Amino acid sequence: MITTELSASELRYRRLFEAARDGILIVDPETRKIVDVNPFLVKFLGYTEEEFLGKELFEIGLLKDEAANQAAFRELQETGYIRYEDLPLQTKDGRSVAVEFVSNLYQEGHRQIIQCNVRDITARKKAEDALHDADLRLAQHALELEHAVSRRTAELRLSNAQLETFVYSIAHDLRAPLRSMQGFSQLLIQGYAVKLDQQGRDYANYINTAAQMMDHLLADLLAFSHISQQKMELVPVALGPVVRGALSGCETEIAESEARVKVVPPWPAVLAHAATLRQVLVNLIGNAVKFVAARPPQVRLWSEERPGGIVRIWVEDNGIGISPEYHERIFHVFERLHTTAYVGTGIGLAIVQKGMERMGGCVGVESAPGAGSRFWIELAKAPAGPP
Amino acid sequence: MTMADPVVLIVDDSEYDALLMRTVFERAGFTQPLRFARDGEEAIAYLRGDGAYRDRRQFPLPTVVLLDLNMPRKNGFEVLAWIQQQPVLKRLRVYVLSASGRPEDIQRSYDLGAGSYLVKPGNLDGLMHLAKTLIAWLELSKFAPLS
Repeated sequence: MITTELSASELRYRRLFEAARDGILIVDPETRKIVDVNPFLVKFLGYTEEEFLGKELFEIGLLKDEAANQAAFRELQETGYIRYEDLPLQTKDGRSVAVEFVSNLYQEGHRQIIQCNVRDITARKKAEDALHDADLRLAQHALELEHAVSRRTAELRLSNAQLETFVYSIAHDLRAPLRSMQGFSQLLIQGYAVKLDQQGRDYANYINTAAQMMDHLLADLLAFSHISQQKMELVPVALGPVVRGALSGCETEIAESEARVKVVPPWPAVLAHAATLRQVLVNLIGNAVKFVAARPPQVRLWSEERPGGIVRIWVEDNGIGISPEYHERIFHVFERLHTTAYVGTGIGLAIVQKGMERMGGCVGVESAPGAGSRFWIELAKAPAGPP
Repeated sequence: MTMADPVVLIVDDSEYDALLMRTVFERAGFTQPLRFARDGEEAIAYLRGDGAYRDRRQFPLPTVVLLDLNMPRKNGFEVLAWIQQQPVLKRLRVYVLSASGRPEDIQRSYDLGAGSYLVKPGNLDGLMHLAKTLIAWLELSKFAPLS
C-alpha cells in the first residue's frame, strides 16, 4: 500500500519533472555531480541527457569555475538555498541566454539532494534591456530637447539684444541729422528773422517744430525699447517717493499747463521696479495735463487697496476724455487719436502698458468724451515687514 | 602760443555738427579758432604732427580735445586707447562728446582715460549752453604744458 502510494507520488513528481517549463537538475551534494536532468533543460541548453549526467555544474557553464562551484556548495550547505537572479549562460551551440538559477538542498529520506531550477529569462531580459534602451533613448531625447530649447533661448536672447542695439543705433543715428536740422533752423529763426518775410519765418519754424517732434519720437522709441528689454527685478517700493519723483519729472509740463495736481495719501508699498514705475506715472501724469479741455487741468492721484493683495493707483483728470471704443487701442504703439490739436508721439501709453506688463501688473482706463479720464494701474502689494 | 590761448580740437565726423560747434563757440565769444579732425585717424595724425599737421604753428597741440565716439576709420575709443599709450600726451584733457548716453559707453570712456563725458545736446540751446560752460571753464582753469 505504502509502496503504491509512494510510486503514485513518484509518478506525479516525474510528470511534473518531465513536463516542467523550467529546467530542473538534481545534484548529489556529496559528489556534486548531476544525477538527473529534465527534458526542458536538455532542449534549452542543447546538451544531451548523457552529457549532463555525471558532470559538475561548472562543467556545463552553470557556475563560472570550480572555485565558484565550491563557494556555491558551501553556501548551499550553510543556508540550504542559493539563488542567482540573472545568470548569463551559453547553450551548447554558443547562443547566449539568461537564466534565473535557484538551488535548494532537500532531505530525501536518509540522504540529501540538491534541486536546481533553471528558468529561462532571456525574453524577460530582452524586454528589460529594450525598456532600458528605450529609457536611455528617452533620456537622450529629453536631453537633446533641453539643449535645443536652451540653444533657441540663447538665440532669442541674442536676437533681442541685437534688436535693442538696432533700435538704439537707429534712434541714435537719426538724432545726428536731426540735431543739424534743429540747429540750423534755429539759427535761421534767431539770426535771419529780419531778412526773411513772414512765409520764410513760418517755413523755418515748421522745420524746427518738426525736428523737435521727431526728437520726442526718438526719445520715446528709445524709452519703449529700453523698458521692453531691461532686466526687471521686482522689489518692495514705497509709492510715496515714486509719486513725488514722477511729479518732479513732469514739473515743466505741470507748470506750463498751470495744472492743479492733488496727491491723496495713503501710499502703501508695492512690488515693482522703481524706475519703470516712475516712468509709467510720468507718462500718465503727462497725458493728464496734456489732453485738457479747459484750463486749468485738474489732476488727482490716489491709491486703493483691492482684494487679493492688489494696490490700484488712480490718475484722474478733467480732460477731453476718451470714447470707450478707443479704450484698448490707445495702449498700442503709434496709436494716436488726435492729429494736430494735441502733440503726441503715440508711444507714451504703449510705454505704460509695456512697463506694467513687465512688472506683472496691468493698466486700464475709465473715460468718456468730455467727462475726463481715470487711468489706473495695478501692482501687487509689498509683503508687510521691513523691506 | 601762451597758456592763455587754449586750443580746442573737435573730433567729429559730422560736418554739420562741426559747423554748429563753430557757430555756437563764436557766438559764445570764443576768440580762438577751433581745430577739427573728421575721424579718429585724422585726430591721431593731428596729435602726432604727421604730414600736413607737422606745422605746429598752424596746428598747435590742443589744450582740450572734444572727442566723438561713433566715427568711421578709427572710433573715439581707439583714439582714447592710443592717447593713453603716448607719454607725451599724458596731460592732454580729452572730453568725450557723444550723442550716446549708454552706460557702457560712458564707463568704457572713463576706463580709457576720458577726463569727462558730455552727452551731445540735441538742440541749439543745449549746444550754446555747452559752449558757454566750456569757455567759462577754460577761462578759470590753469594748464601745464603738455610735455
